[in-house]
Amino acid sequence: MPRVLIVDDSLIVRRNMQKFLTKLSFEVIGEAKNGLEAIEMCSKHSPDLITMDITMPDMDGITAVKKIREFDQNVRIIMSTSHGQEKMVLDSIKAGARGYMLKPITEEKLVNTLKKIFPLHRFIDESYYEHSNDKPTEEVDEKDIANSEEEK
Amino acid sequence: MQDMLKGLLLPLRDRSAEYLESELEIQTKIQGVSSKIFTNPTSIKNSSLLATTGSIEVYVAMGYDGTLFEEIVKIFLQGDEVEGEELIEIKESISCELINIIVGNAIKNPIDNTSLNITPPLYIDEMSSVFKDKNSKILTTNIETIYGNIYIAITHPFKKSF
Repeated sequence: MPRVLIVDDSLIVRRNMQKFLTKLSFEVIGEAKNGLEAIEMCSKHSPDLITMDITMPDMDGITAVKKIREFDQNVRIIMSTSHGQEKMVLDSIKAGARGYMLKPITEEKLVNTLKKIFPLHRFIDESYYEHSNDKPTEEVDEKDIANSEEEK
Repeated sequence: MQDMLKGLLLPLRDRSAEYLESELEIQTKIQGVSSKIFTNPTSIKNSSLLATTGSIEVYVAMGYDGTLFEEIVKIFLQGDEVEGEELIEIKESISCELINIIVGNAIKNPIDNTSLNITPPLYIDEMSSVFKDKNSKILTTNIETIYGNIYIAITHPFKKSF
């Protein structure tokens, strides 16, 4: 089960993100309220995935991504932000992010982004697919999941 | 000056209405933009504030009538029951998140269309705490919904960021 660190200065965003991720079979290992806390928690817990807000007090998300990349090349980072500007997207990718979600974050947006980053992850909660055209078409072997983890 | 403020406020008003309707499924009726100060700013609660940085620096504040805000909180909580201190913290974070989403998605320099950055939002509870200066140039608008009004205010550019 991929281990996730949620980084956002908003309590309601962290709360709802945790709920979505847990439902989708990700293990939330911690929450951080700014870039500084994110760096500390990332070095301590080595998560598989970080969801990172951009506009935060003390240290913004893009700066935090750059600093995290100095000691961790493997962690997958998705930016979650209210900024829709191309420059922000570009700066995030240059800094080392793998994906970008525009707020407000919905469960559907999160799944669509995570599927690109964890293509072999089994999104266990099948109820998500009941009303979606984006249904899983084949079973994924546990070995594939393990291989996917090793690829990082 | 007023045209520039209006050029910033109109997209915020439209984006707020769009957000309420499309994301929260709350029907709205957009009001006109006025240049007068709120007649009773102390009554506007659940407010938050942020500033734009970059080529234009302004304060933007948004507040909500109580019933509307309670409805929005209910939507954000997705059926969860929260009480006491945690609920107060969650309400503050929802007010901040709303202004963050709406301003972050909408705001551009109306003169050259370049993007503006925003500061992290602050919860201010009452808009009056920001608009104490009687000489401030403030543009305001409000959007009606069946649950009450959402208020948006924008002040003239200032020299220092906060």
